[in-house]
Amino acid sequence: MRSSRFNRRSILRGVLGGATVGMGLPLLDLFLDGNGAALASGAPLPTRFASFFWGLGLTPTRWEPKKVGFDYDIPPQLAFLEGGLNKKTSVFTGFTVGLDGRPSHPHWTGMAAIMTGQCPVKDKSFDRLNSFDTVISDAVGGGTRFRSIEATPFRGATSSYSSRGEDAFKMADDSPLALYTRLFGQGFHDPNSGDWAPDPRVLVKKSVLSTVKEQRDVLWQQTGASDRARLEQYYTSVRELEQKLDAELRQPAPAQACRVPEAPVDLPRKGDVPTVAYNNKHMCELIAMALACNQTNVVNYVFTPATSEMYRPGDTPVYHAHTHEEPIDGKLGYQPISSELADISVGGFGHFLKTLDNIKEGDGTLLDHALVLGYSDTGWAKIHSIDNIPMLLVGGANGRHKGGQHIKVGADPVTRVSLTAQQLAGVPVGSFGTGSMATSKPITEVMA
Amino acid sequence: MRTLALAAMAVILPTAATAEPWSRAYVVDWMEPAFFHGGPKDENPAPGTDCPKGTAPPHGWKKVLKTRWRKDADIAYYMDAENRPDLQRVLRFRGPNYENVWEQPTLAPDLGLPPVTGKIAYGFNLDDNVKTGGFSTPEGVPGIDNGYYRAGGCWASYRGQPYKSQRGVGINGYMRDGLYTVLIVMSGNKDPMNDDDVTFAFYQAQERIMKDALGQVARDVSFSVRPDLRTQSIVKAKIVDGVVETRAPAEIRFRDEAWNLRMPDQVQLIGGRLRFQMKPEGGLEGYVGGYRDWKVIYRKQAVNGRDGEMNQGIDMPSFYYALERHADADPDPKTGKNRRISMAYRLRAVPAFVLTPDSKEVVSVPRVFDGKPASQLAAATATPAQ
Amino acid sequence: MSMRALALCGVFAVAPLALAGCASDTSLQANASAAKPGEVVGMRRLTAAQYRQSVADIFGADIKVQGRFEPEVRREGLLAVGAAGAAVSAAGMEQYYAMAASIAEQATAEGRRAKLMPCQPASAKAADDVCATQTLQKYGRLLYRRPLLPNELAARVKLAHAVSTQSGDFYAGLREGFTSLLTAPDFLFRIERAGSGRPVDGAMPVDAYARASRLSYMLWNTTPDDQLLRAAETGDLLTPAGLQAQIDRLTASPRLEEGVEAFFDDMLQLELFDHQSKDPAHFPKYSQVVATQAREQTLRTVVDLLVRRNGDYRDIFTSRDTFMTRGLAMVYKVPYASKADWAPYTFPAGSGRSGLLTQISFLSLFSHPARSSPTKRGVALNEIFLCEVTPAPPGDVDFSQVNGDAATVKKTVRLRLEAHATDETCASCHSMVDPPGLALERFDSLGEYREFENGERIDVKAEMDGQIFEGAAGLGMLLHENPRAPACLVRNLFASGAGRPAVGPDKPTAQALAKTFTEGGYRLPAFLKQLAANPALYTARLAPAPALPGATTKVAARSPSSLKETGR
Repeated sequence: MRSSRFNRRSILRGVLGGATVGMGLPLLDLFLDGNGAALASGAPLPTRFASFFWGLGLTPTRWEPKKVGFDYDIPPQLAFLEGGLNKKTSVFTGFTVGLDGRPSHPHWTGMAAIMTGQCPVKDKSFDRLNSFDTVISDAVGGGTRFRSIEATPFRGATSSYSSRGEDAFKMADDSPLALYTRLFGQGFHDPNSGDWAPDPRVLVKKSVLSTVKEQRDVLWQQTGASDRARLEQYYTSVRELEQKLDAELRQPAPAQACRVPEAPVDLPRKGDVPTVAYNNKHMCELIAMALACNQTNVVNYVFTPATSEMYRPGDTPVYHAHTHEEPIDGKLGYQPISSELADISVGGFGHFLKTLDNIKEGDGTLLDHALVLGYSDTGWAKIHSIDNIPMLLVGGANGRHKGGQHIKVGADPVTRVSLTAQQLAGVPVGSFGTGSMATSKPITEVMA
Repeated sequence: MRTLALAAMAVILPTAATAEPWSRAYVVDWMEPAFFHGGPKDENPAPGTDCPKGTAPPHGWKKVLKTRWRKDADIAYYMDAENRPDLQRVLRFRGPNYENVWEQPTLAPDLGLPPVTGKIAYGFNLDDNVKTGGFSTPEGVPGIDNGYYRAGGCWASYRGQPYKSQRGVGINGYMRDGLYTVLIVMSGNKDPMNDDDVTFAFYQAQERIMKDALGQVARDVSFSVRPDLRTQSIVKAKIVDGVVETRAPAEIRFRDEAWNLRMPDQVQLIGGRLRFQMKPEGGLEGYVGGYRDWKVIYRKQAVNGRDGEMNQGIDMPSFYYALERHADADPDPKTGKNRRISMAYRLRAVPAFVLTPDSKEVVSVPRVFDGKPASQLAAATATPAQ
Repeated sequence: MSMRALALCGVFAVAPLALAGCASDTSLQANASAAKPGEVVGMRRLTAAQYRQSVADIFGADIKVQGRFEPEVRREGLLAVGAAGAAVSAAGMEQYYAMAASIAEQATAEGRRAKLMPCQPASAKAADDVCATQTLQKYGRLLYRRPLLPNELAARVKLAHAVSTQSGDFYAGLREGFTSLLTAPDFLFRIERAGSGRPVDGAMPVDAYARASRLSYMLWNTTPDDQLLRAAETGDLLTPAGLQAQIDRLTASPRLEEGVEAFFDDMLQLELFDHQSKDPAHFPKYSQVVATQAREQTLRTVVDLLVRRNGDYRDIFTSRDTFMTRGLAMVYKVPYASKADWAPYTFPAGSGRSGLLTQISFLSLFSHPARSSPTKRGVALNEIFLCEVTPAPPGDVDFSQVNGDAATVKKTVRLRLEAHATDETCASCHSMVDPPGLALERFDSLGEYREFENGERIDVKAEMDGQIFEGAAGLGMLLHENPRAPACLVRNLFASGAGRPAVGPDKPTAQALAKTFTEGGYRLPAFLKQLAANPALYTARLAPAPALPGATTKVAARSPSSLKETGR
């Protein structure tokens, strides 16, 4: 859905079924059903969703909080949570991936399980399933210029982990300038320019509900006292849904946080830590603005691919090689270089979060109106373990997410976190996953 | 040997009061080379009695890549992490005429792999000669033969306490995730804890291992035998107070541990022996050892040469030379060089149900199942010999 | 109309049963007579399973229904009764709307149109009121389980017209028309209206469409098909012969198994699996797969015994025949001798397993996450199989004997529970509840067999109704011979079909039906035919008060037992 909510005529084409016939403006009133006057300023801010992936997991002894529940201790590898982000973050430990007799494809199965709820039969495939971010995109991505935005600061990692099925993975921009051009180049409309029109899909939704309501009186007359209360509750629920739609039809508050950024300069394409960090910094800013300027509501970010080939300047082995070849330091109890690179990877996630949290928006920050899933592909890269893959949910989700907790479980499927993310993002989904990862149990502790 | 067996029988006879057929079946939940770690606990790379200088250091790609035809500038190029894909591609080509030295290791120099110099090893006194082998078990049984351990025991990834080496954790992870399944069936006619006439079998299963909610190999799962002679063997054993041992050295075959299906599938031990403890919670734990074709051991590593060299820093040709050096059995009649090397595996198993290949009945007494090997297996064994 | 009245007389004529209680309850009669023909006398929210099955039957089994259903409410032991008092919340409305939109989108997608459309629109790019009317009429009738009224249809055609015109896409309009129908109360609820017949047994007969729905949901757990609706439209269904013809057709179909499965899923409270958890440290074999298969195992066992083999209902307490998977065999610690996903299995005679009470479903659902609970099992057994509800314990119970230091001395649950005997308040209920639970103590919280607890051999002797029995087998035999068990099944079947408990003025009907069941040798298919032919099934009693979920109901997600387990 590429039509901009800011160009009234353009959306009226396409949205209603991809046809070429334009909608005459006066006819909008038919859909408004006499409610045209309700259009006023003050629609609620949408819940944005971002998935942030980094490759090769974290260091087993260095990222799990010791304390369970609220006010958990901040472990060394999650140092970026200090200074307030911890209150907005739920850390999930002890979750696992149920293979159900399928092979574990190193560096792939864990990520695929989280995103699709199933361990794929084939490597580098999702068994043609769609990843759950697309479900969120369908639910909250409406009305923006881009259904979702995919990006990666790692050169060449242009295949994201987002798919709408058929194992077609969305392309990610891998240079800051390319991302800038896509977001703020040609076709960009400043949301504060005042050129606003209601989303005709919402208008259609309202019309559907009014046909449902039309029959109310007849049914009411026919219904005895015993069932009237329930009938009334049904229609009250319809009215509440209508009120929600009314809010969506009101002109949104100006995107006060939206500042069109400057075009960044690309560095030579390299995979070393400084280049990735540079790209990450610029891309985080661009993405934050893309969200603040209502260009998209969904972001899929791949810091590095699962087999991360990021390297420290001067090193011959890349990160992935270090995880397999570097001995465990007897005194430290972990692989020091691998752990350093894990610090850098998850630090990139921290930078992403801080960038969102630094943008004031409405009654809080952009992060308060967003939900970010940080996750990886493996629990311990050295042995390709798919137990205890790091997963974090960050952001207020417009008040729905009760962060600040460390949730530790025995060996529940990772899909519980995926389901929770979808519900927090506002998707009407009741279950997720297949086989032993099928779940209808979200983590209610983190749901306000 | 014969006298030993008779002596054991004499001991157990009085306790063999119950005499009815019994059967036990298991699925192997761990298999790893039985290497002794002489370093401090939980510090795999640290020096220890086994390897006083610590883990065998990587030779370094710079040194490994050096050939008479490769320019220093090229080597410098490959040393830049940005060019890693190119390094991966060319690493194997370092013979005098660009040959692949993983396939032809003798075309590369022996850079030396430090052997185990400790005095303790797990395994068996395979030649019944206390003067050979040079190892004793931790319990003090002398004459232990374990040439494989001596050759490879100082590799970083092989070192560690039982069940703790990086290699063991990794490779068993693949097995547990379903790459292959190894079964054991035992039967006898007396007391299961004391029986002098036990039939012991290794099979490979058709089904994948099932893991439980704790990520361990689930108990009490049913498996059907894969009718494949390559990974199947039946030997005579005896049980004394819950310790299972072969009655006489025998050929033992079973499904080898593996990272992937390209690796050789079969362990074939000549003069093989086994010793397992039956554990109170129903499992088995112990060792199986014998003499194995050392070139198969080399090939197993070399088909994954990239992993060994890129990710573990081990020079493949040097490993070849080390195995050749420590091979201790089966001399080639022509060259006089030993073709087999002594070794032992550590195995652990949990209770399971084992059924016939058609899954119709329980295998309560081990017997040979010699149907055609499954096509998947044929593919697995198709690795060309070097 | 006169034909219908005639038909109802016919029904009366063949149903002396129903006449028997006719004059017994004047107040209800007065109540029922207050309902005029066409008046709404019942609103039963579709269960999640009914919603899914209805959509599959109407639009195709490949339509994905994704969404969160409102929690179902269990009343009088059944979700089917709870559904008659269930409402739609604001959050639920959002879900229903989203599901409706998604179903409509899929149903009108390009690839499905050939199958979907009864007509060809003049142009795919413009409104076509004639074709829209024809299509919405066809599917509206199936969704509402009755023909649409003219204004109901007109509103959707108008909507479709507007959307088709604006979008330049005929199918976009149709899609919104479907969305509207799928969101309407007439689809989400089975709205039942009073018929024109005379009261039966003091209860108001429902009209032909409600009759069709009750029949269809009871026997197939889905929406009435075209034939059944036609029988309702012509009035055929109100004649004994017409009704019988439909009963014969529905019960002869293999889909009867779906109806029986749905009923037992409800009665055995198997939806508790959706919210079950087991401590993996104690029960590493437990997984979602095991849970799903355990639920299916029980349903397969029941359907096989009662429908396919036309067995004696009471054998569900004693039969060793069941179905197994490799995963379930692991929990039961038996070999799985099959290559198929499911295989029939008979437990060996000495295995300790017999009947549904020794299946993972019952044993694990009515346990704590980490330990078994004779009390929970006893309460559930009484409630589910004997229709006897155990009252909640008093609030001021002293648990010191069963918890804390004293408990550590007592190694088995039996020893801990014996503390109840010393307290009269406790003993009044626990003496009823604990014995059957104690007989099942050789099965742990997951349903695995064990002989010892904390090193102590578990004693499974118990006494109930003055009879001493031992273990699960003894308990099964006892229940097999207990006449309250089949009577309870009959009560539940009636309640499930009629949407109200078989209490008060319906009690005599239930008793008479129980007699029929007994005389028929406890065979379910034959009994279902008899039940379906009984006019009492097609009546409504207006409840005096609004039946919103409240203090008297229990949310399905919870355990049926509010009685506190004392072994904790």
